[in-house]
Amino acid sequence: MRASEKAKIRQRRIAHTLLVVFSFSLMFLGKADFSALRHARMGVSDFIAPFVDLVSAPIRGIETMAQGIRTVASLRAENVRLQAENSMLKRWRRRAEILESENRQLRSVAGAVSPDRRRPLTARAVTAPGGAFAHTVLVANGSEEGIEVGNPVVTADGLVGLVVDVGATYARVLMVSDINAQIPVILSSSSWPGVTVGNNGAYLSLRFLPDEAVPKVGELVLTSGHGGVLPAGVPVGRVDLVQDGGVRVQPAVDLRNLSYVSILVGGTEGIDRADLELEDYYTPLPETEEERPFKGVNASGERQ
Amino acid sequence: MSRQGRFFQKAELDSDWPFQFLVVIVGMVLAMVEGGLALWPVFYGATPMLSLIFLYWIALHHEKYVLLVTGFLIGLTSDILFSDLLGGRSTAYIVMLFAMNWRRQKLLQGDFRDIWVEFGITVFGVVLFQLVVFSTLNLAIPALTPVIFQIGVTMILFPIGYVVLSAIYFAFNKIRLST
Repeated sequence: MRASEKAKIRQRRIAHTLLVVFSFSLMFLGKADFSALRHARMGVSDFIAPFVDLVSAPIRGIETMAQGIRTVASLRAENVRLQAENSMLKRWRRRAEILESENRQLRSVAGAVSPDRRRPLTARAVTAPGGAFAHTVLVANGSEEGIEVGNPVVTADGLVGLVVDVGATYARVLMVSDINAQIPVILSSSSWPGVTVGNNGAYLSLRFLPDEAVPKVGELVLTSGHGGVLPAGVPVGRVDLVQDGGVRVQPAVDLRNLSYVSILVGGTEGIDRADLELEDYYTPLPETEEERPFKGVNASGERQ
Repeated sequence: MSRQGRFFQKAELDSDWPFQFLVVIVGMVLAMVEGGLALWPVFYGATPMLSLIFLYWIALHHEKYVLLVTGFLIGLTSDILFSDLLGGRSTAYIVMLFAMNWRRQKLLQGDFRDIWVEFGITVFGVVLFQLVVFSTLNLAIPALTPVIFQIGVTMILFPIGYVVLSAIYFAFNKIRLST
């Protein structure tokens, strides 16, 4: 073997070794969450996402067609179901109007601050979770439309997740089912606080519930608003199973079937995700009954 | 008499570079198609690894068109678009290509069943590698049902992918020989 060939082989080996080392170290660098790497990743995503959109178009078309066929096939049953749902919604609407009026009166009595007004921005989901190791989606709106890290993402059914990376025209949404998504919540009927944690699967687990809490199957789980990143009162899911091992929650949104989502823009002023300290944003819920200001107050704002 | 320098040397028209580049592009597109397939509820969270099927087939039959950097770039595309773990799949693909260098001759002498079994082991290895690194870095184990589903559906699609890729190759070869 000639010396030049030997040198070539040596160079190739060195290049291969460097490539393996670089690829391996990327895992740790990525996990260390360096902002430069995060920006580079989002920049590349910004570049690739239109191609993904283009490649996915036929697949999306087939899915839309299949959905159309399914809808036509079940039209009669769907009509009956919708009529029943409509009459139920009318009853709920009347109830909601009464409760809204009552709520307004109570707020005026207690001098409560109105919740912040966030602007909903509709965005199309370009991708869906393709692997078992991350539940994130790319949406076709970015910083050019005013989207920021930490903006909540919802549908009519409830919470989808929150924005974790923003590029110029695309943003990455961490879904509630992701293993890294931990959402502070309350149980709707008892107001006990807890945290839903994803496991990259179909369900969430409800953790950190106080010992006194007795979650019921079918009970609604809402965001508590703790931390100030997510607004309070957005449905996260319903209690699906209560076992000794824990509480399982079925997400309120069918995450498998996301086409369009609403990003709630604004309301994150002053929240710097890079310096997010738990102590700065954690506000404990009232621990004792005595601390609850609305206890014993009727609809007219008078204490009974 | 004028000097004839390197501008007059014969051009290298049968270079591997265009094909190597094409393999990278096709692999990247397949990684994007994987993401597209996730839009179907049936493949939600566990799409078949089409890019791995393609990479395996190319590495088995046309190894000169596959460089280690090919596996790295295809894996990285997939990581950037769909994974929390940047570099997880790209490292697994590089390791897979290394392993193929040792196993290629034996596999080419065997029948399709040997290739399929070996591919099954490869898919399992790629997913297991990602699972181990992911669990180590996150200190949590993700739901295993999608992981098993992904391995299973990739293995089931392998024979189809193998036949389709071979058919495409033979068709192109026929066109090339006839022109």
